[in-house]
Amino acid sequence: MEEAKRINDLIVANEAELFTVIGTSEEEIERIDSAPYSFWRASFRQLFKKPFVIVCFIMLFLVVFFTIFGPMMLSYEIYDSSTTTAERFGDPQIGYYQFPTADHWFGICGKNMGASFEGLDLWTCVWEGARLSLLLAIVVSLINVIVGLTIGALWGYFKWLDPIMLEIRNFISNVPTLLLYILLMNVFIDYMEDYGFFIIVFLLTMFSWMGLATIMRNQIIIIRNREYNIASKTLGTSSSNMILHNLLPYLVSIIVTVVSGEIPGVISAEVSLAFFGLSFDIKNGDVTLGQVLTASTQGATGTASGAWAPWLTNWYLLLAPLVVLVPLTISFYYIGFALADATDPRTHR
Amino acid sequence: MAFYLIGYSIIFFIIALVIFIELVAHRIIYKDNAVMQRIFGHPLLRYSLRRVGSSLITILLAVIATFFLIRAGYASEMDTLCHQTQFGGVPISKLPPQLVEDVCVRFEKDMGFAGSPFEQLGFFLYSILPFPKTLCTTSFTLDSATGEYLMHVQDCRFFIMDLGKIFNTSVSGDQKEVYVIDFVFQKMAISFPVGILAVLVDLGLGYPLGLWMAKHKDGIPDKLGNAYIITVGSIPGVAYYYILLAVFVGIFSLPSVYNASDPLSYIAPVLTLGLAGLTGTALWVRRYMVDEFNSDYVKFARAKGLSENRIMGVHVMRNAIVPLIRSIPASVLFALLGSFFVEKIYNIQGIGNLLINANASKEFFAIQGVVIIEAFIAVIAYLLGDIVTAVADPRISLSKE
Repeated sequence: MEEAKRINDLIVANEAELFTVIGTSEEEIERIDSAPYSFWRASFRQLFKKPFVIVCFIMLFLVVFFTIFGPMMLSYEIYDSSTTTAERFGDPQIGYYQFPTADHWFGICGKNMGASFEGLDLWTCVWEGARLSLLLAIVVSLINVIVGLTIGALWGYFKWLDPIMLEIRNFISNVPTLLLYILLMNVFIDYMEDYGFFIIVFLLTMFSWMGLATIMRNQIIIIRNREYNIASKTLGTSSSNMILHNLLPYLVSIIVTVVSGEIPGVISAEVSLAFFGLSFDIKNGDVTLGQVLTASTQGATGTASGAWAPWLTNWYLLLAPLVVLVPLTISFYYIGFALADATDPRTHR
Repeated sequence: MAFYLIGYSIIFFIIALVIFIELVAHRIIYKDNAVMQRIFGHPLLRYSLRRVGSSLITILLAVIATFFLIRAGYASEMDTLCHQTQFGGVPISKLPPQLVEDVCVRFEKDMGFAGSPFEQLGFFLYSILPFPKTLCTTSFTLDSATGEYLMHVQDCRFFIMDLGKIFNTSVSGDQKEVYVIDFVFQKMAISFPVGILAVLVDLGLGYPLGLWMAKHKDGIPDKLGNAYIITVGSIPGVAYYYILLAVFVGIFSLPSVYNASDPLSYIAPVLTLGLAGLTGTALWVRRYMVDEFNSDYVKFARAKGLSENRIMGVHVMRNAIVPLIRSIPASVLFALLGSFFVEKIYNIQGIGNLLINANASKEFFAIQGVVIIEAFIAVIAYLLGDIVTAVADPRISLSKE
């Protein structure tokens, strides 16, 4: 007891020495000493902590660079119906296949690729193909994301929409997509020359927004009735404000996860369409990566005779489209994958 | 006659059973009979009935949509198709010209293309709805005595479900005018061995990989596994299949064409399918295992001094397996349908290849048939998945109460 009193006296005595008055300042009061926090800046800082993300950005940059400037580096026509195959090969003595040379950096499209490809410069084909594939992927992903987000948000928010949308989803999931593409392509085939791009965009967007919409719906149903949303609703917040300011920001990480898979997903989907001959036609001057890959792997393996596929011996045929396709999809996918992690606020700081 | 009798008695039996189950479940009859209540009033049974009922409606809608798509895509082709067709092995060009028009009209009628769209839809639903019926198509044979092709043969057959005929021999192989329903089952038998072996590879390698990754979370196995999963997940499937084909055929010199009697030729397609499929399995096994790791029961088991392997293999696995088991019936049943890509690449003459050929030669009955059978298989598969989950996990009850 006495001890405590003694310490107390000591503190009172020394108070003048311990503290000095520095006055007040309006500015100092308002200043925030901790570093300012910005969600997106923190996300991107988190993103670039992963070394492979930087590798991916470099790969992506290279692919996009060559997509734009690649075809200009070697001046060959992508498809020229006025020339014959023999003319396109230049020297008929070369034969049907030619490995990369100084004139043809990825070699020449071989005989197995069919009459419309045979003799074309593979470098030009591949980068022209990458251009159309990328354009298609960006357009289709944008449409899918916008439609998917809008429908998903409305679907989750308005209860009366749920039974209708569930029926539509069940219906869509019961129709095999590839079969639908085959059947629709039979209807559209005559218009491919003039409206090819729009038809392919339509095929790839038709049902694929459903994935994002379903995930949005499930997530929104989970957070729809949280306290802060009920409070907002009680205060009379309008539905559009609720969706835009209360629900969507909460789901950024999940949205980014889904959206990140979208671009490589569309590129893959186009490759699959091309595999079944449902994509563009090079005779109309349109070429995609899927077409190049499908054409270059044509040959004996698919037939009953079997034997040795021409592209297995002339391996440059397979390698050329893969050199573009694999870095392109992996980099998009991995960047999205890492971004999904980085946009989770729990990983910040 | 016996066919009709059996067919209708089966339908009657099913309807009676459904009514009986509903009555028991609603406690209208056998209210106090505990045994009957336990067997026929089981929530799982009622749930299955409801599921099948609502699924059948969805299938019907999907099938009608397919019907209209096919009509839109092929209606203008009917005449060309008729002229390519061989009736009873007789090319139409060998028939006398005055007969050709008559033949084509009959052909349209047989194919369900005659009359207004509603009549066509009615005929179509009549043929595919599963109840016993007799349906006939026209065909011709060569009269060897006179050397003329004039004999109309009403080719009739009993059906539970009629999916039409395949006329083009480039689709049906050596068989002339084969019924789609028979043909699809023949093709399934070809698709199934590769598919089921791939499922075995998928599960047999996917589960250990997922376990291994979960056990060494953030370690080297986890990183390697993730790198593989991301690579396979991101690059287009077709590119991946060709890379594997190049590895199997180019480096290991395995046969590149599937042959049912050569076990060596199974390796490439089975591994191609299996190695792609196992990424999904491994990913989910890892995720569920990691989620379970933080549960109280795992901490408790660890505190009691159980070995890590025992915790993983017995306690965690038992819980983590519940969400995973749902997809197993689906993967086994979908093995019947094969894979488009792998069947085309390795020349396996199964369902996938059938569809591709059928589209190329505009054999729309085959396409339609496969869509319907696929839809049925999907419904059964997901229903089985739910049932298996409910059986594996006593916490799940499918009743509303």
